[in-house]
Amino acid sequence: MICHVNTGVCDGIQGKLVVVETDVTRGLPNFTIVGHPSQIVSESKERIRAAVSNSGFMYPRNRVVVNMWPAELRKTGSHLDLPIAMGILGAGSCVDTEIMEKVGMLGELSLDGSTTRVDGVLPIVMCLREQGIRTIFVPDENYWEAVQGGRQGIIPVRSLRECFAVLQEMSNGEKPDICIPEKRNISLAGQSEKEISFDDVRGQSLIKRGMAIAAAGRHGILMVGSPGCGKTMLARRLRTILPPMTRKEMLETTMIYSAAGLLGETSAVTQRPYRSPHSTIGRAGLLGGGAYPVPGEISLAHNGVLFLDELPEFSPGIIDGLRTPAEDLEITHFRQGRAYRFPSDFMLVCAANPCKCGYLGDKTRECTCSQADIERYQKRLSGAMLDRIDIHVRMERVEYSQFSRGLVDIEQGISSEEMKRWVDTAGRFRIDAGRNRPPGRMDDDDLLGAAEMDDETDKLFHKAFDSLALTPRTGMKVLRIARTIADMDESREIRFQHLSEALIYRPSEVF
Amino acid sequence: MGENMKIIRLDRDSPDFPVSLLEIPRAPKRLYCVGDISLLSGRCAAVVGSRRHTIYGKQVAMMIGRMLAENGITVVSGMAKGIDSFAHQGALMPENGKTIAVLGTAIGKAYPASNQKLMDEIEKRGLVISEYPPDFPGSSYGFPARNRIISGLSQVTIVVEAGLNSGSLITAQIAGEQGRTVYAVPGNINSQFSIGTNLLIRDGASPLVVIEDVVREMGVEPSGIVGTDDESLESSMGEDEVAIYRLVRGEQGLTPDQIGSRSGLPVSKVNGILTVLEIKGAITTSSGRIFLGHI
Repeated sequence: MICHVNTGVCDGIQGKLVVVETDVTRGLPNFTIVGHPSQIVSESKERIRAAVSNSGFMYPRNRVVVNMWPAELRKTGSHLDLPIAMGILGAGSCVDTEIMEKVGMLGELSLDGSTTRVDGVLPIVMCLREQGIRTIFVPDENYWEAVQGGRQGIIPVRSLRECFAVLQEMSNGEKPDICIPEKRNISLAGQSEKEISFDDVRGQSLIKRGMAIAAAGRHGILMVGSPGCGKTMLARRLRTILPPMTRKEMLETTMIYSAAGLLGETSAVTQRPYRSPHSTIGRAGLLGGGAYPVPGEISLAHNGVLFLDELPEFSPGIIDGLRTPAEDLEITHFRQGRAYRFPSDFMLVCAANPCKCGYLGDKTRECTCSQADIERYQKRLSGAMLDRIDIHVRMERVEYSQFSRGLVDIEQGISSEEMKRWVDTAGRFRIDAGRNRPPGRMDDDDLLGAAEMDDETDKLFHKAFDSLALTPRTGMKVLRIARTIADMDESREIRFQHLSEALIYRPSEVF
Repeated sequence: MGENMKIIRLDRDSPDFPVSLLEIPRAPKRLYCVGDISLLSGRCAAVVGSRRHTIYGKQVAMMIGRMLAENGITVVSGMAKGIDSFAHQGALMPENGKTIAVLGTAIGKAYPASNQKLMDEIEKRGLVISEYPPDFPGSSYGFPARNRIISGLSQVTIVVEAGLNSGSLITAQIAGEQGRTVYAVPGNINSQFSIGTNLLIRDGASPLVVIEDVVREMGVEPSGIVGTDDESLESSMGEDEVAIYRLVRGEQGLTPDQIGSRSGLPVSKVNGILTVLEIKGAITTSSGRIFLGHI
């Protein structure tokens, strides 16, 4: 007798339907798995044999053949344990195979037959749903992750035995007895931070305003300043003023984390991710890749913030690779003749020292670089990637006197609330004006269509080209920023004060 | 080198060989020149300084270069990056300003290459000289060696900005040995870019406090006003612009944040005003700090 069980595997970050067929026939006792299994799946034989016997079932003393299709898809992951074990029970006529064909399941088994948590649950559940499978069994530890796409029909099971029992009840037409596990609130590894906000940053109005503009228009931002001037501190706080994640965004990002095996004990990514890879990171680490592609930092920062500290220390080739994904908002890897698409809609925040030693232009410390050092360093910065970054800000260290004064009579500068309000206003105004993409993501034609100016402002723009040495490219950047500032000000046209403010954040060659 | 330019070779016995160079020790055997060689016998002042510089050094170098040129004095420098280049640029600002670039490398080739444009301009309107022929491969001794020509050609040598190990200190020393007057531009005593010039003053160089002094020393009664008339500039500004412009005039090198907190204006407004002032040429920015834009 042949039994079909629906399950799935993660292919990249996409779930793919896999059907496990099990046949138990007469012959010498044997257990064969075919259909492009990985080593992990081949090893599962021993676990399954033990789990089945230890759950009180009779392991068939016959020839067991398991086939998984589609055959060309590589099957990997220990979550195939449960479907294979249930397939054996079904083929041995212990379970109603008609019911089995209508449900989906996944889960790893331990030797005593209990289920354990696995990675990549959400993408598979979403895929099974799309295939019209209404009832899906998942390990109870994965329950809260699996329900991110909707609660209906997700059945948590603690063991092979329980899975079997629920199926029995279903075939008898009874309402299955389901025990929903308690929800635990654990934040994502590495993302758990105590409450932070821009209120922790004293002074620094120029960059705070720049950050708010960046957040409102989804612009890339580059901070240049001496060590210790607070670049990292500011970058970490950017996501606190971004609008909260929508359900769709949460789902997308959770899928990526789930497939990458980074969810850990968490059930979902509910806060915008903040990723800050070290400058020694390789190509695959940043952009994603590998023989069986896994998402890189740019995809892990999807719907969040990607912070590249010490930008000139990154390998120029790798940074150059950021261009396409930053423009297309996704990256495609080609492996084994197939295309793997990973979303990568991140906000780019970069930081750099003004020179090799870091103290060029600093008031208190001497720069020890030679002129040639400085030029070489700045040349690394002025490459292709800078073209993608709209907002450029030179930062100053807060002097101690200012700092200590701040502790007493608190010169707060711009508050976090105010920044959030600017971002919200800009977002609302833009949607009301019928523009879907934020200015930082608009293409040039759309931007020009949304950049009406009066004569005075137009004159300023032309003058700026001459006296501030703008190029067509930097001019477009300034226009983008000006559009965002106008949105923050709820103005349909770009006015004089919007454009003149935008100009201070223009890219300039000299730091 | 420009297409129509030709190299003129002046040997020591040539009538055009500058007399001022004949009298110095280790005088060059010959000079290769491109441009107007009559400048060699005119009134010359050297303006030198280090490659690394502050915005102060840049402003002063351009101001001195322009002032001297406006009074018919030829500005001699080494066409290196930084102060040297600014001195040449300043000298070329008046329409008939004259300047001589003394290269430490082969004639006809710009060094550093980024100064190609400047060299073309000097060849056309001034003079470029070198004691090295066009096929000279270049060497490290070329640079200090040309310093004796820079100071030798000039009655006065002005050092604008120099750190402790700057090559322009060598020029000053040689100028002293050649019996020329040395001026040094004083700087803040805590600025690493002015340690050299301040030490020169301690050791007996004349502090350059008023540029007219140099012009008079050269035997010319100074004319021409350097600098922009603040009042006419201010009359084109709005109220807030004037307030911020005055802040910058009061203390150069402020950051936009400092200007914001001193003027009490919101950052968005300060940002806008600063760029408008920059477009008007009233201010300039460097390393995120604001300086006066005019000299």
